[in-house]
Amino acid sequence: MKLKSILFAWLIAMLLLGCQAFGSHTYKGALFDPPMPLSDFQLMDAHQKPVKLSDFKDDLVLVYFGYTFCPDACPLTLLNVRDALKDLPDREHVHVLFISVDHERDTPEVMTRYVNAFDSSFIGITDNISATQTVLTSFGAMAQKEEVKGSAASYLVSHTTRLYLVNGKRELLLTYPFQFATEDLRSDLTYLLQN
Amino acid sequence: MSQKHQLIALLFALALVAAQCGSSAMPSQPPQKGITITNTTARLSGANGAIFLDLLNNSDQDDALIKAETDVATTEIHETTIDADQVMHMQPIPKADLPKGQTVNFKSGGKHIMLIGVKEGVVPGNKVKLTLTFEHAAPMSLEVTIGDGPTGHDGGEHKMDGEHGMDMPKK
Repeated sequence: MKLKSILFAWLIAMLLLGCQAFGSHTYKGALFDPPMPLSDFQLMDAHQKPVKLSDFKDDLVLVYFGYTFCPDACPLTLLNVRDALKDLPDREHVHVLFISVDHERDTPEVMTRYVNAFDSSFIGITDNISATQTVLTSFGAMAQKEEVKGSAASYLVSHTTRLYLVNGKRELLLTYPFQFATEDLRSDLTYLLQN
Repeated sequence: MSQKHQLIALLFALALVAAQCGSSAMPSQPPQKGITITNTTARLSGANGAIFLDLLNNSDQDDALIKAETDVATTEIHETTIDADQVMHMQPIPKADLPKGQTVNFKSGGKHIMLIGVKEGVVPGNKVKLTLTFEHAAPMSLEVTIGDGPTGHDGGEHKMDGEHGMDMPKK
């Protein structure tokens, strides 16, 4: 009787393990369920060429709103993204958009140098604030310019630090918080690229 | 305890002390009173940069970091906070309190020493002189090595090398 119970428990455990191994992927990022459809948008990149979300048809797009003046979340996030993409199979089907929320300081030249230092495939976007604001709102993100007295910075920009993952159907699928684990993003990307 | 045993015990104790010194992160610096600076890292970000470090106040009174200076940029003490909506706010603070007996971490998503308008020519690998001024303790100067990060000028453009990684602040 005792042996039967043990065998039964073992069987259940194996079944559960099997489900975990062969079942659906558990997303590490925060999931939009159902995925949130996004309107197409067009913004100017650092080479003064228009970039549309629909340009990346069927591919995955990682979107981050930030600015080059930021010494903290922005470089940290871009480094994490760079590391997550390193040697990723089908890497060419993932595009990274770094959308500036500080077009005054982020001139095309500044933006080009900045993103190239991380990965030359990253796309730096720097357009006027009203065009950028529309895109920010559609992602549920925000950016707010704030004057700072007594600082050489003159002003700073508070901004959402989430990284957004857009699927091949132009839907917002996942977001990752500030200081997300590189492996988490890599795991989700690997799954999505294979399915 | 016989003299022989005492000698063995003494040698054993000395060996323990020697081993401890050998495994210490800073063997040349015995525990000291006052402020101790550790885990210093720095990175550039465009024309700016940030220095991260840990400050241990091992004195008998509360202290505060009231000024940070470098020879390569305008230097301020800044603090970032992340709110419930994952929005980052950054602002300069007039001082960073250093309660006695405690270590204050300057780290990503918290306090940092902000470098604004880093001089042209400063690139990762350079050493920067940092001088910290405290409310009570005597000023301290140290050299900080700039880790990988995007520079804000053509001459110093630096391609970050994933193999070597970046001199990252600890989380």
